[in-house]
Amino acid sequence: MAQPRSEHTHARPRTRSRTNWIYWTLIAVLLAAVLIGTIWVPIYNRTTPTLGSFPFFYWYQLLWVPIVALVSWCAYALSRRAQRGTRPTPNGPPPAPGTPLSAPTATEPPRRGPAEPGPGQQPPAATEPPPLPKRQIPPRPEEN
Amino acid sequence: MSGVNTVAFTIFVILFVLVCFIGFAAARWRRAENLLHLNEWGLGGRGFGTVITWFLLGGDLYTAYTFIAVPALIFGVGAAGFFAVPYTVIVFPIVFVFAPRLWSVSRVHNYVTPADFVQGRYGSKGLALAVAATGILATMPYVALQLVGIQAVLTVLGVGSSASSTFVKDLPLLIAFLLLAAFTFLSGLRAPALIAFVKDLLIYVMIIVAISYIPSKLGGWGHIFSTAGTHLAKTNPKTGKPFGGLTVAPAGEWAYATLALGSALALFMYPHAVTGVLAAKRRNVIRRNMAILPAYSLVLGLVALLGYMALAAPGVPAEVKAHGANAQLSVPFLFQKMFPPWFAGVGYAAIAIGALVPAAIMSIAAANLFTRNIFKAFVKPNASPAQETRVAQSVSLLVKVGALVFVLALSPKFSINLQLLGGIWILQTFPAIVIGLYTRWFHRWALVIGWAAAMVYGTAVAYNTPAPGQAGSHFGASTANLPGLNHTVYIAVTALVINLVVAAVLTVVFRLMRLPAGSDETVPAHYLAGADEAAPEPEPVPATAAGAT
Repeated sequence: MAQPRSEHTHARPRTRSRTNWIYWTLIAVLLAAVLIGTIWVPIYNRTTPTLGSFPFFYWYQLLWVPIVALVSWCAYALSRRAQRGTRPTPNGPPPAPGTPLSAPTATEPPRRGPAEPGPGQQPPAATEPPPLPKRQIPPRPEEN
Repeated sequence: MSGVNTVAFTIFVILFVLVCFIGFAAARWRRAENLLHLNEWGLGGRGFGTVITWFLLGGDLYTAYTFIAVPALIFGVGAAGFFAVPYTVIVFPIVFVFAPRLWSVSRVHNYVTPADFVQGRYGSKGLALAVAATGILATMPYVALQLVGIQAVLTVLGVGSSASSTFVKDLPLLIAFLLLAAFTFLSGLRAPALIAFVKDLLIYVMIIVAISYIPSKLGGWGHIFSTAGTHLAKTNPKTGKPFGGLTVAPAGEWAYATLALGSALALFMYPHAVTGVLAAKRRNVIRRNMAILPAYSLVLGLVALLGYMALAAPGVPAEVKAHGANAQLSVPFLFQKMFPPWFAGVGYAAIAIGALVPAAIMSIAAANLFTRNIFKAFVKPNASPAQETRVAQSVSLLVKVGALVFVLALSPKFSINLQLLGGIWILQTFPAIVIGLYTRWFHRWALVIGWAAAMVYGTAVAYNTPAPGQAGSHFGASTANLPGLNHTVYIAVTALVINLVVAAVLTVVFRLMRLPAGSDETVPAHYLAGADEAAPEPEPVPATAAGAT
């Protein structure tokens, strides 16, 4: 039932996924730094140096709040870049009738047609959407 | 009842009525097509954008836990209670990683609850039942904590405090319960989401005033910390040790770290937190929120320090002592002593509404779990949407009754233990849910047995842990000494390790025995659905394929 989505491993997606790998590693490092900095208690379990009469223990941990906001924002931005490549590619064959599936891409209706190309056949490239979404984001389509 | 309290009480009541009015008006908000549909009553139609999701998740996360339980712990034991800050800091990176995947797969398959996902992923009704039952059980003490928060405010306002009969004494609790029940029953998730605006506004006003005004009145932060330090260094007659200190005792470092980590891992296992995530309109709404939610953590950290202010404020420790040494009353009494009565009323309203809103969301989420994964899965598979909603509404009431039982049965010393007890249980669904989002390596039956072992272990150890200085009492604390390691550790984390080890070993065994692995209705692409904002929303898989049927 589950269709293996192996169509990914073509030349272009591969370079894509290499950049993605860097993005995701960067995200992981950022997030791990937050974890270590905040729950490794011996780092901050003391009262000095104080900051404006706040003992170190308190201002150190409170300082992490804006840092984690910043880190999360960076991670969000990085993840958006990374996602541009990891989305299921629209180049694959149309889905089996039973599984409308996954992330539909910009042009939905043509896929739904009953006229499916035979298995293992080239999908009609001309009618398919461009393989990767454009950089600029169009106005939200879901209002209607 | 003194005249001071009358003013505060009047302001409190006015604000409360105003908020309830908004709540019931919310039932019509954004023209719900049919409120009797569970998607509507329980997920607000899945259409919340960044801002509303922020308020909704904030309402979930920052509750009476923040305003009553954490300051009470700091008031009682000092720095050890500050673990709530690293907890709410690391929760966001953790959620950032997995929540979008859960959102995507839930959108594709129309999952409403975490148990729906587990059912679909593992094809195991037993595992889904375990997840659902744990969610409902763990929600009860968390709702109980909210009731304790409202109760504390009402007690300080003078409701029923001077009476001797038990009925009147428990009047604050009873009122809190009735308010919550009526409120949730009528309007579902939309009401809490809209009220969250008002609530957060009140809370921010209260915090900004409290943080800037009280320290200046008490002689500055330096004085607050030093007075609190002196208080905490005194010897506790019950244990023969100091109450606490401005830093964590070396023996408590493990407890501090594991409490933060365990709480953070557990938070988004709660059905209500999952509800908040699933109600988001788009996938990126969640990640974007992880960058703006820490604003609440800052609030939490500053509010926690109200515990020290209460220690340093003249008269507050004495009042708390006079009311049965109930540390939960420290913040309400601080307001009473520091603020003019009218503003104390605003503060009380903020706390009470801040407890009411999440309690409503929690009980709705637990009710959803029951309806979808127990009632529909085992009792009446072909229930109509209207029937489902009616069952959910009744169950949300039952959850509150369960919460009431927790309030009455457990030691009232530190209400934070209610939340931590819930954490011990809910964290045991972590392997099935979060690890399940990434790999299906674990065998479904191994997960069930691992879960069961951890639940039994966690409950037994928590039961056998007495409150400090009260030998023979039960469920007195949520940390226990770990044999072999000789450190005090949050029981939830120990239980999770047991859970994972048992599940891993049995997975290997079951695979060698070639036990059926069950079917998985998801494919890798489902976990990324909606990852591109430019794409339209993923469409749900038709009902035939949806889980929990």
